[in-house]
Amino acid sequence: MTEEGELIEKLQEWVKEHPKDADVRHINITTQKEFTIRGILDELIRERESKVAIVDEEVLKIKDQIAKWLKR
Amino acid sequence: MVDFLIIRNKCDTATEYTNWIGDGMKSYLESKGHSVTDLSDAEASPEKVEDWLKYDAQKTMKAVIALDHGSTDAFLGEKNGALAQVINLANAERLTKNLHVYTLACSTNADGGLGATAVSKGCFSWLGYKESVYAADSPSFKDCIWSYMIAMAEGKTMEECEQVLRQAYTACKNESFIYQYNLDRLLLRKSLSNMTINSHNRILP
Repeated sequence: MTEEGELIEKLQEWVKEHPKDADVRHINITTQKEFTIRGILDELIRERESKVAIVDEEVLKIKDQIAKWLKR
Repeated sequence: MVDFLIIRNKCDTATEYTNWIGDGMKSYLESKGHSVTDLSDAEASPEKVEDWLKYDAQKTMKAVIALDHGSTDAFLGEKNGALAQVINLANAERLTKNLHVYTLACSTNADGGLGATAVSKGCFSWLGYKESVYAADSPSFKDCIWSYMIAMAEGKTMEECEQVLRQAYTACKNESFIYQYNLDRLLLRKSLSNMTINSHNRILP
């Protein structure tokens, strides 16, 4: 499985176990990028299915942080 | 004259989150015997912050709770519905001398930045973050941010307050990546060890 695939699988598992936390609204105070973790998972799945890469730098940064977090 | 000044503007999406963190703080602190001024939304203006914090006026005597935007060289409030600097490198000495400052804001505690400058010029302590940070619209996040404020109000030392906050972040780390992220960027700067808001403030000589 690819690194991306592993991340999606781990995040799907986390969302299933933490459905309320997955829907909590977050924001980066400086950039004002709002998101939920479920929303980020949806974007990763869309990227995989459409094969159109995510280019939003904020989403990419959040994705990296989620990947680090799930590895801990 | 009050013990605590709360600053929390509300002029964009991010400050809707940080302003909400401050809802109920004034009542809580008053229930614990502290006097409080809460500069919320348009009240968080440069003029009002200056009026409540300037050292010569002696109107805020113990601590500042600052929930808002920040940068390496300024903590922001609001003027005419837009962000405006309220504490910066130029006025930090006058506004924070002999006070404790607790921030939820981005980057104010970067090396060589606002928090470091304030502490070097007489502010007793500054708890803040070295980089940009996240907020969440959840009771867990609010409880986390409140933990330091509650510990200060209970008379704990700044080191103990910091540990309470670190433990609160750690306890929530399975709820989102932002808890560990913010924790990794959190820093307490202080001019002395084992201070409390009761032992070191503007009331005592």
